[in-house]
Amino acid sequence: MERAIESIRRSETGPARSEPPRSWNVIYVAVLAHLGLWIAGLWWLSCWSGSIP
Amino acid sequence: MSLFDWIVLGASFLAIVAYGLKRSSGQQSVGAYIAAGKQMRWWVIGLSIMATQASAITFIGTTSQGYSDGLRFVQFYFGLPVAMVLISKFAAPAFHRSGVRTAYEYLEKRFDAKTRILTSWVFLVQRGLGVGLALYAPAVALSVILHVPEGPTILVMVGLVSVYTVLGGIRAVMWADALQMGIMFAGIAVAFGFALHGLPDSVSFRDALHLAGTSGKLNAIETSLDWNSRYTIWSGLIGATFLALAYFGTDQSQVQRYLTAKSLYHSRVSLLFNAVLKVPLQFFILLTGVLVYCFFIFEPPPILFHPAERGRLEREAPAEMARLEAEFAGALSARQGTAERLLESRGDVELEAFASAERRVQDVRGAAIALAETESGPGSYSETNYIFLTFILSQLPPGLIGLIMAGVFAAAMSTISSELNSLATSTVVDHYARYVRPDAGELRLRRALRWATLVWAAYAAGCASYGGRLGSLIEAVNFIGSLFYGPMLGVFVLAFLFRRATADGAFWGTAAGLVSVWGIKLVVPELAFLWLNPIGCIATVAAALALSRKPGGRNAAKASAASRMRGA
Repeated sequence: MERAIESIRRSETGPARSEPPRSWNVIYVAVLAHLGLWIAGLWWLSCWSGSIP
Repeated sequence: MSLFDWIVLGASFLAIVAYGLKRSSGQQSVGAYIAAGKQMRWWVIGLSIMATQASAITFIGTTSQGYSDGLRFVQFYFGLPVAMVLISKFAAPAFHRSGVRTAYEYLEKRFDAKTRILTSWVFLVQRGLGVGLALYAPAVALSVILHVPEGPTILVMVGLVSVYTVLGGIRAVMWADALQMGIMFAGIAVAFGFALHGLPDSVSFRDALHLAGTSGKLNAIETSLDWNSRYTIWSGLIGATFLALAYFGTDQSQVQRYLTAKSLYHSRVSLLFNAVLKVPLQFFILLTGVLVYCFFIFEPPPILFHPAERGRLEREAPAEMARLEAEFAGALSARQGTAERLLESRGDVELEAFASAERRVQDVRGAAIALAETESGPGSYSETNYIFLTFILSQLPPGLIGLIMAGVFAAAMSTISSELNSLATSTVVDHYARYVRPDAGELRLRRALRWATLVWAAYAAGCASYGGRLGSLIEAVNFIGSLFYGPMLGVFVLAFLFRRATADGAFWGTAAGLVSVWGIKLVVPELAFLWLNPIGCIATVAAALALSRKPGGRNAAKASAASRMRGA
């Protein structure tokens, strides 16, 4: 992830401006996976507490 | 509040104003005033985006919502990370490359002037009333709790905000936002710690969660397919995604934050910063409210949290209130006893007894609420803004009460300052500099921006001062404003994603989207409001594309030029 961020930083602020910022897609997937983990955790909490049978 | 609390509160006010002014000192140009010279870093922008969205009512109302309704409101934020990813991928690069100063200026570059005028007017009307409400709602709650009149509370808030917003522009606003967000984080952490610490020694965090779960307060996920249910995982993931797309992707008060970024990289990371932090943050705010609920199982709460209403009933119906208070004390005592037995044995019998005792407590409270609503009508009593403040004022030591109150004021001020700054920017850039004085120089524009900020501040204070009398009007206009969000998003989606959309197609498609949303709301009035956003957006895009089919229309050349602009 850090390498991806560094590559993007270089591509948009440094001289290698033409480098395709494909690494952003990796970050987007990671952000959505983070949301998925939170939803899974909250789902578990709801089940544990009896809100979802 | 003690003298020490007032000192902490006053010191935080001075720190916010001084910090904002210090960070913006030396800047003179219009570009610096409305776009911070495009020098802002991602973490300042990210905190400013968060602070702008978090109003005082978010701060005190969300904790209270956790107390009364549990965790289910967190689902409302599931759409935000999805929206941030989409804005980061599509909207941020488009805004960044086009070099615009307002979101609506982009629509003129892509379509034509009439679309820019329509969308900027929608923003000015909607956000103009929103800033009045952002000032009025916390002023009422704080004046009741702190026993100070509403007028001075409004004037203090708007006065402090005006100093750094008028003098320092967006750079002062954003740095002050970052500090205000820090104060809010500290306030939430302190409240969470004290709610946990306030539980009896024999009750662990896990025990508290067990009691909260038994009362249905940990219902974070609802899978119901009921379209009229306001908060479900489906409305959160679909409806709230469209709402967040509209708010963060088309509303100048948010777009202006990431237009200040020193590069597209900083713009994108600031959005993703919010995508990652928002759900955990809202979860902890709601969980603080749930812990306050657990705290009040072992420490008797008032029968009604609204102090003024409780006082009124004690004066006007003393016999009835005394009877209800006695019943309430009995019900609370029974609930505490069953809670202690439940934690000892964890048996099904104790679980049922606790649930029954909880229902009894709610029944007695329901009778007191019905008494409060005798004259004003059902549904008129609301204590949402008083539950958390009651806990804070009764349980926290001197100094920390001042810190929490500073957090509430900071939440209000960060929203108001960003809204005033964006209203002034849109007024001057989209209207004054475009139509009234297109030849205006740097000095005149800077003066116009400062005057516009002051006028909007005075207007917000005026709206808030008459908030009690204008309450239904403000609510009506806010409701009408919420009908505009879907079509507003639709026209930006057309601009970003559909090269063949023409200017006339976009304009009349927006009108068709508005009519669709209004029509559906009239036919199905009980439909949860979150669903109006996807409906309005999809209707706008579909109608605009259908209307853009006419080949060789008078806007065909412009559409082609706009496509080139996007590709550049």
